[in-house]
Amino acid sequence: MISHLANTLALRNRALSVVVATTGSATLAATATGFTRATGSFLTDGFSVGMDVVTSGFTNAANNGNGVVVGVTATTLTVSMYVVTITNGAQSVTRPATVIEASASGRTIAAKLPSMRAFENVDLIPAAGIPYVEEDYAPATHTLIAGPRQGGIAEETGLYMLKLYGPTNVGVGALRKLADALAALFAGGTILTSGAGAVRIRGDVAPVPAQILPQGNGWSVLPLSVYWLANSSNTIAA
Amino acid sequence: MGAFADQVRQFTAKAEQLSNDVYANVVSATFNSIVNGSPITGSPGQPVGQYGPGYHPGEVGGALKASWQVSGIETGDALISTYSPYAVQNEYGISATDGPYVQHTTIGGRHSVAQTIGGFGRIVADEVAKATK
Repeated sequence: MISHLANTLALRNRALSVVVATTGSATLAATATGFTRATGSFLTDGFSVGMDVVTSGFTNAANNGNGVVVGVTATTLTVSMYVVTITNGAQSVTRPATVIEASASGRTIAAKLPSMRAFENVDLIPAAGIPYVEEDYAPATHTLIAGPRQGGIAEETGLYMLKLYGPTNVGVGALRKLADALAALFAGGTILTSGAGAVRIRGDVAPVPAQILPQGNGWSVLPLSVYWLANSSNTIAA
Repeated sequence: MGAFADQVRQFTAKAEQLSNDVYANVVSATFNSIVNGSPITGSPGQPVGQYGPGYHPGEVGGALKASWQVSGIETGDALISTYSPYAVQNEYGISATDGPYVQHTTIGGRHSVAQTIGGFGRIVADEVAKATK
């Protein structure tokens, strides 16, 4: 039998490696409302309103961290920074403004998996306007596909679902680009190390991003279904 | 040649009947997987209300489960659908309020459609095996 813990972590770590959009190491300045650049383009780099981004390389600490894109042009990225703090189980969210900082090299802005994550059996309190992701890991079938009974090949299948939540009424760019980037990471046939074994993304039922579903509560959600299978040696306990 | 042609006709008729039977059984098994769950696909089936105000203790059933229907099977283009507004929320496990989705019943679960899609090949293989036994 496979290790479903190892499987979950393998799939999760794959999702965590996603990069949706990035400036790479670039020459950027900070303003009171976000970031600017003299060369290159935030649009070409793939940024969209509603994306969750991570900024780094700035001198002022207030310009490094997490934020949500609220406006994009080629040379200006308007970002609402946020800081989530949990103290004694209580969550608080502050939204400090960026601080003016002259242009310099070695700075990066990247959109990855949203930093607010409700992984399996982990509750999350959504904060208004800040994208988040929920994870579901659902085993499906377990079949002895080749004998003998002891030591034969057992095949297990299941579903790994990521539900991508973003602010409603900001268009499709942020959620669709995130879903597309994740689907590319889970292309059919991809093999991931899972503990002492491996988990394979099925090619007969490739990753399927669903429709964007407005929830009427300020959120829209886009579920992404990833079908996996894994084999193991069938072991019958004494 | 006449006898051979007859044999071919008989084989064709038998194959066509088998094909029709398998198709109908696959549709039925797929519907059953989504609504009631299936060990073939791993689908848990639709949740059924059991407890609390508004539910009916001792009764098996529920508006969500009853909302699923299959149509068009006679055209060769079957459609399995639901008219329940809660079906999508339950399928994906999306809470109507901020916070995690909570299922208030021990019967059924989430992702029944997705698991049925993932296990559709097994449904077809199972029905073919039964028909050709």
